Amino acid sequence: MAKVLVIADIKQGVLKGSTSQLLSKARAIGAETAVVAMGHHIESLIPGLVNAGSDVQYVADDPGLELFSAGPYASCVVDAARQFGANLIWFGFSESGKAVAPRVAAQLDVACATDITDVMLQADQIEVIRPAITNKVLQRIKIHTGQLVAVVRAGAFEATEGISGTENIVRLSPPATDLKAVIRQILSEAGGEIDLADANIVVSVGRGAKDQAGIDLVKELANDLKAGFGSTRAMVDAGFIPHYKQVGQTGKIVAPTLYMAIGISGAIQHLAGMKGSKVILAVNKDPEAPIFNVADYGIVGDLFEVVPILREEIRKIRS
Amino acid sequence: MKILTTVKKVVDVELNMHVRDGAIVQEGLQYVMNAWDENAVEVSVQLKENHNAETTLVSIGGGEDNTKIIRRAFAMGIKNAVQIDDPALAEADSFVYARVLQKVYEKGNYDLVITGKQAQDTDNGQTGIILAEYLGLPCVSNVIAIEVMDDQHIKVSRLGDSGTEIVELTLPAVVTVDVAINVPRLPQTRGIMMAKKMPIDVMDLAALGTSHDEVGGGGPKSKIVEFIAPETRKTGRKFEGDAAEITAQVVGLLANEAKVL
Amino acid sequence: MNPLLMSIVIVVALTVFSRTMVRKIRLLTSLEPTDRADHLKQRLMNMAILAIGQKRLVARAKERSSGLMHAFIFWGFCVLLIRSITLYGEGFHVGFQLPFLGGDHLAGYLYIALKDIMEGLVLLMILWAIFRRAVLKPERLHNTFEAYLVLAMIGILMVSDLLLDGARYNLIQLYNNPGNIHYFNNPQYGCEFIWTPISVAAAALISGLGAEANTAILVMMFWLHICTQLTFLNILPLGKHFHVITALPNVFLKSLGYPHEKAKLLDLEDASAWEEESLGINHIHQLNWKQGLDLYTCTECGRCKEVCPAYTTDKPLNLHEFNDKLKLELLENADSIIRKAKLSSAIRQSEDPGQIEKLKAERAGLSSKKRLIGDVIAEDTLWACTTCRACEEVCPVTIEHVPRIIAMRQGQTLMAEAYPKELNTALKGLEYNGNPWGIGYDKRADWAEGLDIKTMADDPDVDYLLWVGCAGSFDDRSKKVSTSLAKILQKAGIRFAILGVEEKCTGDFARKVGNEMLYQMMARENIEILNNYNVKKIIAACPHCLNTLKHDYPQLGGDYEVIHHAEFIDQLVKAGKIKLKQSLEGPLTYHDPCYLGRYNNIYDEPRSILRSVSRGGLMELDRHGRESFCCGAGGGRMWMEETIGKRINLARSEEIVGLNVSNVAVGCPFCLTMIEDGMKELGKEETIKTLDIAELVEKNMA
Repeated sequence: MAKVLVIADIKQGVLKGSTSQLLSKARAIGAETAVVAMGHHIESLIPGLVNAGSDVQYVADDPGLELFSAGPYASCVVDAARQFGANLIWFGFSESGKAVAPRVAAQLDVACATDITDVMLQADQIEVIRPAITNKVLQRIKIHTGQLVAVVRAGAFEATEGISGTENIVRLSPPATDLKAVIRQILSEAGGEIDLADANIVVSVGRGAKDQAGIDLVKELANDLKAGFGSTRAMVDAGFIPHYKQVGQTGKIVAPTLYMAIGISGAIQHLAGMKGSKVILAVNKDPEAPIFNVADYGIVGDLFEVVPILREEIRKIRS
Repeated sequence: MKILTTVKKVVDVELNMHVRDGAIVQEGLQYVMNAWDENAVEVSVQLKENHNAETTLVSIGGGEDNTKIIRRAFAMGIKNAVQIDDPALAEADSFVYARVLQKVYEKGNYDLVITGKQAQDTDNGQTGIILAEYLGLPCVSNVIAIEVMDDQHIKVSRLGDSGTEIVELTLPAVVTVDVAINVPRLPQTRGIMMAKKMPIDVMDLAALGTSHDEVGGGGPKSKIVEFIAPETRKTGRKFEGDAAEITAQVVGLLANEAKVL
Repeated sequence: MNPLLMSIVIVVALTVFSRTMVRKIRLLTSLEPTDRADHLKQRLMNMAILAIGQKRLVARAKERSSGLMHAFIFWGFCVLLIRSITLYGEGFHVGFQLPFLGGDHLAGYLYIALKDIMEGLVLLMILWAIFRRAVLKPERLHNTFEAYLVLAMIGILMVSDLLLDGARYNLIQLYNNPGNIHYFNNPQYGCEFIWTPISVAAAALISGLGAEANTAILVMMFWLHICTQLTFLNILPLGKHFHVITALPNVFLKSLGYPHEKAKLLDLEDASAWEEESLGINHIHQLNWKQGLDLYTCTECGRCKEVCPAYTTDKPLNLHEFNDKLKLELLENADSIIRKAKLSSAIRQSEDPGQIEKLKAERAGLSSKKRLIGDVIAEDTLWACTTCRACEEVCPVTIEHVPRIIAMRQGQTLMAEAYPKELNTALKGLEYNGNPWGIGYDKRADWAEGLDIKTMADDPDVDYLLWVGCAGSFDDRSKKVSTSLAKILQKAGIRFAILGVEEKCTGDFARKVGNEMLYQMMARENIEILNNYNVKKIIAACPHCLNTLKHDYPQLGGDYEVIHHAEFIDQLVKAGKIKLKQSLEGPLTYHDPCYLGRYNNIYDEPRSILRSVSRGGLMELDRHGRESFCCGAGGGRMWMEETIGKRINLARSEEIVGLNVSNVAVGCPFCLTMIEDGMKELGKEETIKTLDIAELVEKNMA
């Protein structure tokens, strides 16, 4: 019987959706489930951990874990994994996950796979599917070790409605602080921004927005939808938008349920970053723009005219 | 400060990838330096220029394409190069690479290992972090800025989930860098001319003082059994006309047909 | 008159002059060599038409009046030179005459008549010139003390000679020639004064002063004339009027290769070139002697400024100032440069390594203290140029501005590694994937999918290679032009193929920004492929590709017959292979691309085609043909941001909008992009359509 340990995805004191998604998948493949949560003052999250579908909750609540630090977090995960006897250890797609997973794999001496979109268990043989070469191909990988540490692509697994777990809390001893990598501070992104990799809906802005006024207009749309806000390289290079919001070959590769490309022409490098999205909506003044070749729904029009109408229509539909 | 920089040869991601019979069609492919490693090389060269650091690159692999990227790094300003060329490493995974790098590291007296945060062919992003684990060194990944504090300490900025994390590292350490850290310089003609003559220390595993068994550690932990072409998107629909009308129409479709709103 | 005084005056003047000239010439010979001793006949023709004929001044419709003004002054000068020799002769021996121009020959009389009229004319022109400068103040003119001084001196020369002859007239005709002055008086041709009305008129001004006064005036005017002339001679080398002496040689020695002399192929493997920093022009002493002569010859007329797209949109590229600054730097370092050349010669001849070391060390220390780019010429100046050649087209003394700028860019890129780094994306794209956008080379032939176009790899047995170019392959707008062109060729039954993914950027923009390494890499790779397929004839849709393939590739072993698509289509029409119908509605105009017009002399074929398709005929922009205004993309500027002044493409687009047309035709993908962008910015993209010639032909074919 498979035993899946899911690392709880906690961001700024909130339990993120990937936790229940991963646990749902674990249940779906018939595994026993456990979750490990690290942080400080995370007691209040435990019911959520249970409801997400875990049967055991490993909790490491310590002041030293308030700010993310890869070393100590990895130690907690390894501790939980050993105690649980996990053969599958899954992280949601986050920077923390990507930083910790390889450490855990190295310490446990097991295989590690990043950005997996599917996992199959056939008589103890683990196989995963993951994209490679900037989303241009998929790899089917056979895991030779009995265990696998994986970082799961955002939205790859779906949360099952109505799943729940059993409360079974195990407190982990606080790990040693990493004295050689001391985190001094975190410069927060402006007011609770939504992570691009995490978001279900991503709204991106391109050169069609022209300047800050245009960008702000599109940002309002993103805010309405509580969507992640991204950008093409052009707007980043022009200095309007910070680099970490760039969607594209050398930026972030996203695959949300809905991707809105506003004022984006659709250069190949940008497409590489969002082609995997489930549904793509494009708004562009030029009917010949290449973005329309990948968009499921394309609106030919001036974004300054269309975006306010979009917002209005979405407001109507949602009410 | 002695820096060890890793560079990897990857397929040029500007090209289309064709999959046939579960494998990637090799014909017509060309290979270049991994984009993130260009950033790593640029970081190293800047540290050389500003802090007199000694720079050494390590590359695992053989062939003309590999030599080409080593020469590119020379042209950018790296002074020394170690190339580990051994057929036994053909099927290496991140763990094997990390072991080999560990051996290279142990042969020198390095203060800082700089790698790109991931390679454009595998998109794994693991090797640098695993190397740090093997070496027992502190590590920060996804770094977008490095500041030298003194001989023993550097301060790095990392793109984390809640914002930019400022971390102080005690050397020796491993750092993996993101593209946002700098704009790699284009190798200039003079550098390219001089790079042609610079020596590369080519070694196989034996010359490195190890063996496949030692770095392979009991066989690869995983194997790619098949490559699959991703599903091509179906052509969508384009709506032209009165902005209000078509937008309303599309929103309706998004909600009722695609069910994404 | 006074042989002793004459001798002294002449000897002094000529000694000073010789010393100045020897030094000026020695400075030139100390510069880098270049070969201009070929095709003597053609050179003489150029000199006759451009220099002596003043073609660029009088044949140019714009500013013809001021052109004629100068032409007359010049021609007057030439005519009066003979008179001067006579005058000098008179200083030694009264009655001195030149052979065949004496009082017994008709030629002599004709000459003095001509001389007389020219003197009057020149005087009038001088007065007008002074008026223009001082009152009208045309913008392009550079008003200096020297300008006025020289005009004044020429005026004095005319006046003194007229008064001299006037005094002669008075003494001979009115006062019974007391001094027995020699004059023409031939029974067949009459008295000389019948032939010289202007001198006679001048005489009238001083006739009332009496014989003594007139005699005095005669002597004074003689010496005034001689001394002014000899002083003038010595002033010439000191400023812009050096062109009086150097213009004819400069035109004679101008580059015959069209558009330019073959650029020197840099040997990047040459270690000594790296050591001496002689790749490109990095120091003033690296100019070649012709470039030095160019600097001497700049007349400061400012015509270059008026037509320069950079200057007229407020970029800091002032070509006259460019010349001037280089000239000053050259002259300031004259001693060092001359010494350097001597040392180089000694180094070449010496066999003693110790001595060579010493000489090299001394030579190294003689370089100018100023950085050529940075201190003498600003960086923004150097990189603002679009290499459009409008300046070279109008320069009356055929100065070669553009090759010099490119050579300086070579120095900056290769040696100083100081070039606009925003070019890196495009340069890297060229290196990795053979196109400035860096798009995967494997997609280069995607535009041709479904169009039934062969590649050379499929079947190299064709009559023509269609060179598509990077824009035609990857730029969405330009792909349409490629499609149109292919369809036209297919309709005409032409057997052609494309290189497809084997085609790479010709390297034009790399060469124009001074990156010889990348250019040579692209060129060699392309030439190898072309030669492997035994390509003989190439049709190019892009004038930049055309230019590089035709004029630059031969240097590296690529010799092909290259023809622009407009030329080819014109041939097809004339051969009856395609028929055009005049179905294009609305007024049409044509924007001459710089690299098609000024670089390759193709002006008529596009017009012929356009007239055949346009129902409303073809309207010409004010700045058209040879004087077309650049779209702003040449010289690598397509890949750089325009941050200073007004955008060039906007200026051109405004000009087009001002013509009230519905369509503007272009023959270049850069122009297509720039002008279309300009129209979009002006909000005119719906009312004015920008189209390539190929697109217009495809839409209007029978």
